Amino acid sequence: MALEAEAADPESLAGFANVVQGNPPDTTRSVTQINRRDSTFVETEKFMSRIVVRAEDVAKVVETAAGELVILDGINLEIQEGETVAIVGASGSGKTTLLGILAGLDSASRGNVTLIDAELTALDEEARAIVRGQYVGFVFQAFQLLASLTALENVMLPAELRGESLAESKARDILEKVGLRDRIGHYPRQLSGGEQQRVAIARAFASDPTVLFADEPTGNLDTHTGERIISLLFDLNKEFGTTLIMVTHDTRLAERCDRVIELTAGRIETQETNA
Amino acid sequence: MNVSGFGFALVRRMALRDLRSGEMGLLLVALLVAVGTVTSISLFVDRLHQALLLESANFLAADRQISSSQPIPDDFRLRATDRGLEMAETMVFPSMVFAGDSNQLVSVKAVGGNYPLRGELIASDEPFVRGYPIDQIPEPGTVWLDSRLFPALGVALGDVLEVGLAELKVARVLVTEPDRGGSFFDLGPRLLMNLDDVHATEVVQPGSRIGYRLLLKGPEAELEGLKADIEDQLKPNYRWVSIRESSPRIGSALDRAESFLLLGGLLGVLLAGIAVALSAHRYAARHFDHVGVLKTLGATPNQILVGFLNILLLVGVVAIVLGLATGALVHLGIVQLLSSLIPISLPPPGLRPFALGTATGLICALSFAMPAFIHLKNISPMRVIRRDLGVAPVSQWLSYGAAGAGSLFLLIWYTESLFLTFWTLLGTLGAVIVFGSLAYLLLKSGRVVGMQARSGWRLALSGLQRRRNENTVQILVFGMAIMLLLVLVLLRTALVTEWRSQVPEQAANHFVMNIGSHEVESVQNLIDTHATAGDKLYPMIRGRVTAVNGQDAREYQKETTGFNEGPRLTSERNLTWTVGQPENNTITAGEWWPENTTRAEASLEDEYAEQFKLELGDELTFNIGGQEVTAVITSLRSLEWESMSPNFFIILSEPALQSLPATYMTSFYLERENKTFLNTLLSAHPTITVIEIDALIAQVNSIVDRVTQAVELVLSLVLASGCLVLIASIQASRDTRMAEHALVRTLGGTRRLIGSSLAAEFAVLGVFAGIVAVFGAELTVAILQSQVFELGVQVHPWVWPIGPVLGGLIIVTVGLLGSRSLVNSPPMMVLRGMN
Repeated sequence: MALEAEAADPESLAGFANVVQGNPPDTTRSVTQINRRDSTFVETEKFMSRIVVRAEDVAKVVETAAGELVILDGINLEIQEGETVAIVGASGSGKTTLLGILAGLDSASRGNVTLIDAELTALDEEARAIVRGQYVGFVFQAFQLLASLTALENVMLPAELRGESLAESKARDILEKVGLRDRIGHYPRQLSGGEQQRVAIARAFASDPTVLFADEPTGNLDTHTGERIISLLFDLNKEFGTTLIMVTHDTRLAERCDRVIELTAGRIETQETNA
Repeated sequence: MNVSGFGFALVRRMALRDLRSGEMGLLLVALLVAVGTVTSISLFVDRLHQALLLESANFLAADRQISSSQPIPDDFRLRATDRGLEMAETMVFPSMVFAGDSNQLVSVKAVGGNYPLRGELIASDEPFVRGYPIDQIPEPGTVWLDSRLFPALGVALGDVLEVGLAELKVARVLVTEPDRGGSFFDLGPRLLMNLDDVHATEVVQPGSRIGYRLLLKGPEAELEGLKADIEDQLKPNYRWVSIRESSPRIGSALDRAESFLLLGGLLGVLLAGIAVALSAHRYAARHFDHVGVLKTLGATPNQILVGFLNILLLVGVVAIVLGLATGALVHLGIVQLLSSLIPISLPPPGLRPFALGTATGLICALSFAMPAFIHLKNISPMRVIRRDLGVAPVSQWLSYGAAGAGSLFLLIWYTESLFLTFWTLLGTLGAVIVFGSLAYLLLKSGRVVGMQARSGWRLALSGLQRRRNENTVQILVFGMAIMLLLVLVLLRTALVTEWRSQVPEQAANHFVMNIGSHEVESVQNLIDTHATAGDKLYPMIRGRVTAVNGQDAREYQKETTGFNEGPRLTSERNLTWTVGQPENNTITAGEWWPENTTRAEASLEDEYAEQFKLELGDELTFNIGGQEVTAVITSLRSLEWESMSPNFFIILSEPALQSLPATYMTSFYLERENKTFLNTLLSAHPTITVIEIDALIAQVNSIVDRVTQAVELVLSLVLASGCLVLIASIQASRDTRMAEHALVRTLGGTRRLIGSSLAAEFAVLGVFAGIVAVFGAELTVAILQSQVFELGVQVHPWVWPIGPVLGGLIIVTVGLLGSRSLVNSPPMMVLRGMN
């Protein structure tokens, strides 16, 4: 099925319905499989400026020894394809939890979350993983590279998990793009923090994600390296036409985004669009 | 796309990297040890078992015997032939032989066919030398004589002697034949002749006392088949004899050794299983983040599950292959080692040990390691951005259920005994509950001490307090490992002591009988001068019980015991009289008679008394050479049959027998190099009978030695498994300790402080584990000794201090060695590693 190659192309998303309506499934992961589990959603309309992330009245409540703790409450937002969004707020305001829920890493206690065309709140972990593998990339503060794999192997990993055969050549290309051609055989412990983050960025873009989630991507780096990493992130984002949603404390970084969403005590305080 | 797991290349790469980085090393080694232990033990036990059976078969000169005082029916022979069994026959009977003017009562053994079917005949060309194995039997017309018959009869090789009406030529000296053992009193000086000559002797007449034996050799199934075929025809006149019936001492030594080896091997595997479980949990715990990352990259829970199970399978297969090879090598090494000590040729090994090793590896991987691996699929991907996110513990039902099921399966499979399985499981469960509480209480009591402690100790004790639950489990694991080792050491000591005591050093290896009363002094003097340890001389008078409390003995037996088969009360017995209570005899009821008693009193062996329902106060009437003697039973005794001293079922007081004519008997120990003393003794007293049992004792000793070595070998393998558990357990808690100590170091704690705190922590864990182990070991050994090995229960105070001290030392050593990097790495590296 051509779905994977076409995933970055909004035009091709219309093809989902055809697949659902009777084309035989192959071994490729797709939303088809998700739909088979949960047929409540199938979007077929074409977008010019499509909404890729939508949250409706999302809440996250956890049980603690002291009683219920509300982390997020009444979150409503929509993010357009290709948009860059910064989520900011004080520590404990719920921004990381929101990021996790929007990316399908965590589940909401209430409300609906739609990622691309998948209603995450209706999916189980198996199906959410498929959505992540197909459409989502991640960059983390702590890099999260697998220590036992080389830079090249780390970048190949998402494609390998999908069973793609061209994983290696694609990974080499993207590592070259992030300036690590000479470091592809190195293990994470042999790389500096900046280099590790570049490998992580390469890994995130290696699977042509529709949405890239970043959690404090410069949090572990010095200012100079952080700026270079941010430039790289935005350049690649532009090149790949990816939607970027990032959690950050860095106001300069937030200013570079199209929109800044500020959270306070689990609620959206303000939403500002940068010129 | 591969939805069923990671691609094989990725699985292989991750497994190899994990192996190289040491993440998987302990799991691999633990699995390897489990497989290697089982393979080497079962290979060795399998071959040793066959060799021991073979060697034991030598006592019978066959795999089985059918013995009787009546001729063996042709039907038995035909059926044995049908089953393809090899046969040989023997006849044993006492006869007077003559050589010129000399004569001597001998025990004739006439042999035919391929005798012996097992073991070998040892002959020589001159008396009293070591001899050589010989692959033939006396030709018709010839006899082979025991060394001592040469001086007794005054004959030499080539001379002719008369056996009944036949004149037979002395062709060789018979040193020993394999089936000489058996009842003491069969062991007269031996004359070996050909079965074909028996007819010519005409000594076999109706009423003659003859023992007929049909020797059988062949596959076990056919032997058992034959037994089933003729079962009905055997009773009451024919006896089916296997090694266990023929030599109960060796039979029970074999049984115990097998039980021990089995138990040892099993404990080794269970210990390795614990190590597998611990290292698998640690591996899994160290991969939580790894799994989180994989999940954010799109790996589904099913992919994680299948992928990691594939990794486990791959590591399992590598461990099994290496384990089988290691097991085979270890076993070859042991065989090589033992072959220099005992020249035995072990039969080739079968495939079963390898199958057992493979299955053990798979079961260990499935039941001990898999729950931890299965749990990985439940890790939340949120962990990648929220490291503080807790991980739900592995389902305890799954973990313990799988381990329990695996252990149960292994227990039943290895022991083939529900009894042993039940007791082991019950014991383990009991130990976990009792000793878990004990360990918890011990840790709690450490708190009081901790309040007053300084520096390293304070840090250690507070650490122990903080992780009280984990430490309780760790003490249990340590304690169980040390306990199992102590159990094996104690059992090994008990078993070997027991076996050794069956044939004590310098146990009498010669018996002298038929000593006339006029010869007593002279024989005693000769023995005292030339033999190493002489025993006292006992008068020996043949007599039979004719009445009990005035009632005819036959009727009495019929009335009281109700059966007509088996030993008879009225059979002729060897009686003796003594003034003092013999050594190795313990009074179990009544009292030994005073030295100056004037009464006719009797002391009976307790089992003999019980068999015939005789009690203290009963009056026994004996017929001794036509005279009637009545004595009252005043005491019952237990005997040590293994003591190799003259033992009597019935001992009478001096007044009962003193006036009757008696011959005397005694026993003594003679070094092999002093064997010619027998010439001197027999030349001076040609009518006495000397019975040599040194060859028999040597044979028993050689079996005991071999079994002991096997037991020690198993012990060392189990020791290796035990150490592995300790290492795995310390490794399992290493990460938590590392985190804490790195923090202490960043706050200014010196390496010395960390080192002493670690040492103190391990010492406390070790000592507590040692205390738990000592309690557990004493209890388990007591149960095993009484229930499984049928030995007396005893406590071992010497172990009480050894347990805690040993526990402390081992765990401090292993713990500190395993934590070197923890003390030596810069704290930054540790803290970074944690991220």
